[in-house]
Amino acid sequence: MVRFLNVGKSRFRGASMKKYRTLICLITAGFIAIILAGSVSIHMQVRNYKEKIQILSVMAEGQGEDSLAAAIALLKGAEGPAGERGEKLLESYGYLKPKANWYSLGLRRDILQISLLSLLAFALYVLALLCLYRMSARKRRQELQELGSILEQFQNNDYTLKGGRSCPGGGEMGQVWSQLELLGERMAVGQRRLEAEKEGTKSLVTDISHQLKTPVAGLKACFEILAQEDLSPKEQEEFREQCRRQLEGLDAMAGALVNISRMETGMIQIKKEPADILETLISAINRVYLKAEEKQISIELEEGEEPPGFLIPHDVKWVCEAFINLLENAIKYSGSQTVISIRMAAYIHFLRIEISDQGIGIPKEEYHKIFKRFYRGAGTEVGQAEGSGVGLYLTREIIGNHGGTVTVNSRCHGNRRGSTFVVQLPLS
Amino acid sequence: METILKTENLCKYYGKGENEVRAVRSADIAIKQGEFTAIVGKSGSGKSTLLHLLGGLDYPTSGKVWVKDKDIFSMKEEELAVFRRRNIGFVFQAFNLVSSVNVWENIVLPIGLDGREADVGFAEDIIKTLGMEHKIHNLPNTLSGGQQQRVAIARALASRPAIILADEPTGNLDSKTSDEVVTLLKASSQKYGQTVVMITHDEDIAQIADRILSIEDGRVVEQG
Repeated sequence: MVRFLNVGKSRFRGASMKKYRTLICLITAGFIAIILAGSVSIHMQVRNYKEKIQILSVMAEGQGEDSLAAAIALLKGAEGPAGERGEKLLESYGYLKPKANWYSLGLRRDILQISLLSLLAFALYVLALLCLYRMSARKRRQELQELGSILEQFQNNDYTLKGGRSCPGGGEMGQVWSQLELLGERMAVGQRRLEAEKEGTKSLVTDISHQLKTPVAGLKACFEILAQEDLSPKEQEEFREQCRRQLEGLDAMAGALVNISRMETGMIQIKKEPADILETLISAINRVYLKAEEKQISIELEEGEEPPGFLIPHDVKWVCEAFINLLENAIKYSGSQTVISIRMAAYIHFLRIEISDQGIGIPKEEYHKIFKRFYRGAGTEVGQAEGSGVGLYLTREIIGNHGGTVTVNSRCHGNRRGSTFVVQLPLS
Repeated sequence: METILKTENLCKYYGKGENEVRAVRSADIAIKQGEFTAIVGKSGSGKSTLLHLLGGLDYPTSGKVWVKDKDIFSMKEEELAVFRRRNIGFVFQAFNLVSSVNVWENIVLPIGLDGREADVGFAEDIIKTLGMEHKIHNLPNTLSGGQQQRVAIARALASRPAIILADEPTGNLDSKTSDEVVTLLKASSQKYGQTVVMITHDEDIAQIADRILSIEDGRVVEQG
């Protein structure tokens, strides 16, 4: 911004110097023109005077026919000694001295008038020029002041250029103006992004500290009870078990937080590369297979009409993480000996992956909330299960970063109990 | 972030006395730049009336609506029409495409009618984002419902309005096409930083929004 300002200033200083020089040139030219015009008209007056004197001289000589001939000679413009004698005569009487005759006085008066008029014209001309210069200088100054005030406004983080202020016409000034407008827009966008980021970080920190409080308080209470000596061995065992569970919860949360913070701070960039989505899904299934086995839950991949295997641009590691989260949820909230079925189909733009379980289901009012950070369902079954409320949030973030969506859906499975999560990933 | 649309004590009543229907009751809504908001409600809950008020298509009984810090109902009628054309994009259930001109013309026509120069590169990018690049010479009636709605979305996006109001954009589509169209609407509005307010009766569809407002008997409540 500072550099920008300097460029602007020097440009205008250059412009005003140039303006100044042209002003001097114009004044000089005007001066010369008026001097020329004045001297030409003075010269004409002088010639006029001389001619008059010549006529008078001829008249002074004159007698009879001669004067007529002399007049004709004068009219014919003949050069000659005509009137020389008369002139001497007039001179001898002292009429030809300066100020000594009427015509001479007239000539002086005329010359004076011409000089005065020329001077006046010159003065008017200079005045007009100065006025023009002043006006344009003032306009420049105003424009500069306006630019200055805009820059000042920018410094106060206000990037709106008033619509009416936009500079009319093109030229250097117009260019500076539109550049300034662009700069303002860019800075406003940056500012907004910064603020959003700050808000995000703030709420993340608040959320985390809130989440940590509960298990830590639980742990503390357990340890305090354990410190009392009047506990039976059975009770002690029970509280130790409590402590262990709280610790496990903390551990799970720490793991989830690491993932979230990577996502949030942008340390992990989603790198989309064409890969077989089916393989990603299968590797996710392999990761949760043991947990499913424990509850005797079978995971079935239903074949769609399309041949299996879709090359889809996606980040294998993170999409796998998203699938794992969805599958783990399905296992966690399903009874034993149930089925988790997965369907996959390509539509015009999206690959649609449905993961259906036969678990506890999700009430409609919670559809939107379950994807929020640290939200956990209100039902008692949810409260009993381990979890930190970040899995689905992370899943939505990952899929969203791929330009897809993840929703939970009830219309796909009629009266059956359970939830269906629908992931849509863009095919290209 | 900047608030782009705001209402204050917005009310719309129809009829008088005992027959009075309170379609919208003192709604106070604030929608921020770039937000994707869904307004969910059953039919007859007043959600369409609310959307019409937000878009300046209907006058309220009382209350105010600001779009980009301008009180839209303080404007004269012609002034409001121009403001609406420049700042509010609509996507309707019935697509409302011009049947006699092709897809490309449908998308750039409104910009031309407004006396502006269409940004061809931007329009092409939108069309590509919405996957319609092979259909730009088709007439609307040769397209499927989902495709027509995508053209309508492209048309709304191309004029870069301050806000897009979508009234049941998936109302005429089957559920899987609905998911696709809404996902595209979400993805494209995210890509271009477009603010969208979508009205729907379908809670499944509403899930993809950043924020859900629900409306019941004319009252607007923030959900979750």
